[in-house]
Amino acid sequence: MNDHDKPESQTTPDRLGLVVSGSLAGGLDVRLDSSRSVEEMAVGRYVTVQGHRSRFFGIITDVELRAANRDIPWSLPEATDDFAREVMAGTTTFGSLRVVPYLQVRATADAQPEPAKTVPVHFAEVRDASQEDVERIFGQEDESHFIIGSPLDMEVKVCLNYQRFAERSNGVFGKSGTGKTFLARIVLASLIQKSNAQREADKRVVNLVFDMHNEYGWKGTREGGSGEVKALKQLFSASVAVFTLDTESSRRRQVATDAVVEIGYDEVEPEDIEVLRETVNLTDLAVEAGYTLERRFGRQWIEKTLALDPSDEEEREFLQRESIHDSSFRNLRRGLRRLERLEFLRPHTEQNSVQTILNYLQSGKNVVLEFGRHGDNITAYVLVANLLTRRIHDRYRQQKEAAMGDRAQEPIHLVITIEEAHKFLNPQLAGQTIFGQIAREMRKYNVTLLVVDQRPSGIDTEVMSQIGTKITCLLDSENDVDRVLEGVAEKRELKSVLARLESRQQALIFGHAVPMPVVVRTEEYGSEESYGRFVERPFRERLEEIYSEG
Amino acid sequence: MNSKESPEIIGQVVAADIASFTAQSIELHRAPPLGSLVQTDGPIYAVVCDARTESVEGRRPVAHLSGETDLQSFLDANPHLRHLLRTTFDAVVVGHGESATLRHYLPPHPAPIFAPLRLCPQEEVARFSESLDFLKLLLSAADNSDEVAAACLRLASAAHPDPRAFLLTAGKELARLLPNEPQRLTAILRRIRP
Ligand SMILES: Nc1ncnc2c1ncn2[C@@H]1O[C@H](COP(=O)(O)OP(=O)(O)OP(=O)(O)O)[C@@H](O)[C@H]1O
Ligand SMILES: [Mg+2]
Repeated sequence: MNDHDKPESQTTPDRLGLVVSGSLAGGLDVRLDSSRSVEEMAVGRYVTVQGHRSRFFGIITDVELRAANRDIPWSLPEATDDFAREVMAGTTTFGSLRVVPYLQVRATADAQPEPAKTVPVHFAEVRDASQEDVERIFGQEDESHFIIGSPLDMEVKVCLNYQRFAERSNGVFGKSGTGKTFLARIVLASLIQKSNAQREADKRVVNLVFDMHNEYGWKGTREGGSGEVKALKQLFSASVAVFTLDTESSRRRQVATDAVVEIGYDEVEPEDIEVLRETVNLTDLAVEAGYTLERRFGRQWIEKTLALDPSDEEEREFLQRESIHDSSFRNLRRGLRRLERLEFLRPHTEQNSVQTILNYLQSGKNVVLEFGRHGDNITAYVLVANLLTRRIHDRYRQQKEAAMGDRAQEPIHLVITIEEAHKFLNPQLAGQTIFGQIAREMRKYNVTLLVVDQRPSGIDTEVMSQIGTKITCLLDSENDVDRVLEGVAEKRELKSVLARLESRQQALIFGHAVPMPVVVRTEEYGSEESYGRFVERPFRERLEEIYSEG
Repeated sequence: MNSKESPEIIGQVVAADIASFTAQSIELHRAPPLGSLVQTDGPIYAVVCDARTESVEGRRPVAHLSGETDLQSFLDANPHLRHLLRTTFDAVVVGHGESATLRHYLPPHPAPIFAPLRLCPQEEVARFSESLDFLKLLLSAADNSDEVAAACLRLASAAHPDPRAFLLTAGKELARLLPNEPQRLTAILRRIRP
């Protein structure tokens, strides 16, 4: 008897079927055993294929009803009984799976999974991936792997590789309410935890979070349930500082803040205004006028511009001399007036927020900057995130250059988290803003991004291609899906996986920090047990260290 | 096969070719049932696919009822008739070989003429039908092959501990053998439905 004729009673319970055709480029066609129903299958699930010499790991990307002869099911009598249906399942009619093979492990004992370079032989057996398979691929939690969730229908955990994750910019995408913030918070907490566990300084990272909706510092909100979850400072009180732009809001929410950030007009440069072009509707000429006026007035340019009165003969002449058109001036002034309403902007402030933040970061403290009420004001968010990041990046560049390759002197690797990333990284701005630059220069100056966004189609293509690991929940539109999957080899297959994610707490992860794409049910966050994962472990490790030293 | 307790002889081969043979029943009107598995020297296995009773001379007997009310008393009253009639049956060859070398395909030689014929006991039916490769021979043989196959499977299922599972497996084999004949397939399936 051929293997494919084996009665199913002789096969193991986790067997799904046999490879009957396929290609490396297009995926494998798997004939489902007749004892298996298409209804138990799920797109996104992990399978293994036992080839002759290698074992393959793949993902189910489609499920199909097939017939040995396309027309037969149409010519059968209407009243087929259960017995006939059962007989024909797997003989006349088939369930079939489309499986994309991603990894291959050769038969030798110490072989590591590597990208699949061929396909398994005909009639290779396809099985559900076991817990050990998944652990073998994604690693177990340790100081260089952190847990992000579990594969569909499995208890085992999927880990991301901490080093590989940190060495590139990364993205969390998904439409509103899918769990981006929860995911980003898990990622940040994990980065902090793993960084704290590193012994070598150059493996540590420190985070700067532009916390638009006040969800990362002290506590976050949860829809339904108890309504609140702990955020970073409650988990890592010693290594997180919360800064605020809005003391009143912080006080009202009873958040103990470490510092208040104020920004002087004299710290704002025309470049900082330029990124607001879209949000405050500035014309190109108005932006140019800003540069001209700054050259003319120096650091006081905003105050002086706002004081200019074009109805005054002399001042009108001044503008004419500088070849600033009246309408451009008015456009610029209207834009600057909108900044005037932001309370954290002062004509001048003695505190140097950039330096304060840098001091924290360089001592290894993670900084969460809460926007308070200003989070709803996209102008404020873009202005502040851009302004601070430009200055901080500048200092990083200087330090990195001064270190001249001496790793010990280099600044600690910084990960900057921004929400609504398309506001900074859209094709019009990506070439100019600091965030576009950071995304493109990889970690040249030890700075990378964690972008969180619900509309990835708004993000520049080139920037998107620099994003190392993408964690994406369900998306709203075809455009968003296309942008996220751009340049991915198995785009078509992953698209169908992505389209079928549940609308909450499920994500497709692919890229630099995982050996193959994976769909996960995101790790539960918000219970005491979930916090314990972050707190207990380093504590226990530290205790062990103390004992082993003593 | 194990000859320790050989099953009783039910007939004798009277005509044979590689793919089939005809045998005469020892007792009048006692041909083995349609679809049953029989075995003769070789050993050769075959499935009964047709049977008939006729006059020995080849002429059609003339009816002459003389008051008897049933067949048995009519024959008892006319004992010479038993010698003028005979029952023969046809069988499709479906395999050959001793149990260790059991083959579900045609033997190299036909069954010898006058070879004795036995009805296979249940254990042997179960052993033989473990593989369903013989169904192909059965389906391509006689005119009424679908009826024969259905009868054979019904009988064989009783020899298996789980008749329904056996019929399901057999049904699947039929589905594979008749990929382009859905009507034929469903007709057989209706006949073997447990
Ligand atoms: N990992 C998780 N553990 C527990 N609950 C979760 C998790 N992920 C998502 N949720 C639930 O889903 C809700 C929405 O998640 P979240 O606030 O992260 O969505 P979002 O994508 O950031 O939405 P928005 O675009 O509106 O900011 C949460 O309030 C929570 O109830
Ligand atoms: Mg959110």
